[in-house]
Amino acid sequence: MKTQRFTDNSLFRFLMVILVPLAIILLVHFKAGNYYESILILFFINLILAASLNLTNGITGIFSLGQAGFMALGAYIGSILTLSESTKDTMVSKMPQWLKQFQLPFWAALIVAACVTMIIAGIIGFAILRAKGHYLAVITLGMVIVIKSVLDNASSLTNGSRGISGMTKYSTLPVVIITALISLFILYRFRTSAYGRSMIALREDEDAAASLGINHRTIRLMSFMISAFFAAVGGCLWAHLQRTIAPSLFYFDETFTILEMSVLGGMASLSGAIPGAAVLTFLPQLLANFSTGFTIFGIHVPQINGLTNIVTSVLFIIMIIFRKEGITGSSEYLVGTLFSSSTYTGLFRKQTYLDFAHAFTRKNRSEKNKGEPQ
Amino acid sequence: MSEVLLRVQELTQQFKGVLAVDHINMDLETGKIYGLIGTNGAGKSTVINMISGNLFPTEGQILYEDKPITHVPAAQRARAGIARTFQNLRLFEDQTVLDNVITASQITRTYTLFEMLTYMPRYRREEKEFAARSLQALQTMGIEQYASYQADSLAYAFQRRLEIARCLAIRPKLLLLDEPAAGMNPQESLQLVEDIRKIHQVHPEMTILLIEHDMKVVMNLCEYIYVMASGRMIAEGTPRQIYESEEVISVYLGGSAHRIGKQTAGE
Repeated sequence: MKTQRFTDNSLFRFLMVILVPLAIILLVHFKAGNYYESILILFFINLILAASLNLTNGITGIFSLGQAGFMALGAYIGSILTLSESTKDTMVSKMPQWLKQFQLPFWAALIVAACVTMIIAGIIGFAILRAKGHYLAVITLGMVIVIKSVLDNASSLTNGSRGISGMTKYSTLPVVIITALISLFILYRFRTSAYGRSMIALREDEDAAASLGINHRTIRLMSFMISAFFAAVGGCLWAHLQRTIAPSLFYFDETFTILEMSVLGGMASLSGAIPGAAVLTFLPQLLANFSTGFTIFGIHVPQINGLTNIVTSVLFIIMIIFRKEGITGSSEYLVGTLFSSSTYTGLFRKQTYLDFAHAFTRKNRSEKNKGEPQ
Repeated sequence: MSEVLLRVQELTQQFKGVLAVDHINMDLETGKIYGLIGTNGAGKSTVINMISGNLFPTEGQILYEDKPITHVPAAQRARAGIARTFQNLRLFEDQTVLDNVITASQITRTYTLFEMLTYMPRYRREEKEFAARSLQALQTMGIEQYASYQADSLAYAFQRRLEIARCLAIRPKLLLLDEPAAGMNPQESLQLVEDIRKIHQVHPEMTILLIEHDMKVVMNLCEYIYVMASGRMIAEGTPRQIYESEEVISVYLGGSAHRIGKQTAGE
């Protein structure tokens, strides 16, 4: 049977997955400037987007490239609902009067935007989910184009390609953290329930899943809709962080950025979204300092255009050679630790601390032994 | 006479000019073990695929509990109690052994999305029940000690048993086994015969249809045997009738029928 590993220790899990990240977040929030905080906010939004993509692409095995489209819908619907009447009047003067007057608080707008997007995804999914594999990937990519051109042309609602701006910055750090945690929690509940198991079964073998009574249409559609729901949540948060949106922002670039996060982190698990979003949110910001040129050991490196793209590509090639399944693979360690009760109940047991201490002393002893002659 | 669970009438399957199955008839009664034998390419697996709903027949009909199910999709048939294994293993390899079986036992799920998200008592109770029933199915097949292993890390014979355990977890009325002894050594297939016997003892009301190449397995287990050759049903009867049938001997069994026949008759 499975042996008890040190990484399963409740105290260790609590420290690494909850306490350390919490400390970093608090440090950034209170000590670092606005710039760092907005990067952290972006990370949590990307986390929601990548996790939502993992549900369809990794867990259910329906390879969708449509996430940016749903994100756009969420962003637009959310923004239109939170903007005040006067702002809408000056920016989108042709908007129907009832919609101009219709204003919701942020949380309500977020949920309405996500639900409407989910319904739209249901209608689209009903038609396109008959396709599989590459065909579905191309169709969903086409869907992104369709959504963009609708947003470009429905100028009485969206102000066309100029986009809309002037949203209040509702996406503060606490808001995105709470939303990200709730989103991950809901997705994790799906993953560990009968629905999640059906999704995985469909990914692994459709015929075998059917022979166990799993209805592939319902499950695939469900997965597609839930994924769209959280993509819209991410989009809506994103709109209220950037405070200005345009159709061109939700196009191939965004599609592939989310896909990169998902693949890099590990598509087959929700946990994969965490390292995936972390690497691809922080890395470009880090590299931005170097792309204007820098001096190393007295040698001046000139400005490199597209340094981020170069580094990301190299990273991808390395990943594909050495760890095809992504950073986390199919392990749910990170999200599992966050939401399983054993992490917290374990803290109240004496044995946890004994094991933790024991692991350290054992390690030290073995290191000492190495140095001593036998 | 017990009642007929599955009735296959004039079942035909045509693949682009090839007549894979040619107007066959079968009656399977509740609680018996049936065998379906035949040479390679005789159409045995096609028959199973049509009964399980993975393939729809071009002609003829299938009655299950006196209701026509000819064009009912596979998932719905599984819910009605038809379980099957596959000729080539079809496990969820990435999952643990237990999860493989739970994926099957959750067929009885009644909790809703809302109850799942809010962790309601019914959700917790049913999830517990799925796990318990899955362990029971693993116990029946004697592989409960591997529950936490990843499915593809098991030895081949155990993977075969896992596939059968997965079928048992949906509590089938009709169990279709597509060459369960394929690729097993004689000792392992002997063990398999014991396992299937055990299943029959534990679930006497379950009807089993066994496709098999290994004559020892079929002659040992089955109460009634159907013989197919190039898409047609050439003979049916008890094991004794089959090995005595001239036509079967000439088409399929050859010398081995007499040898095995004598062995079983001698017992």
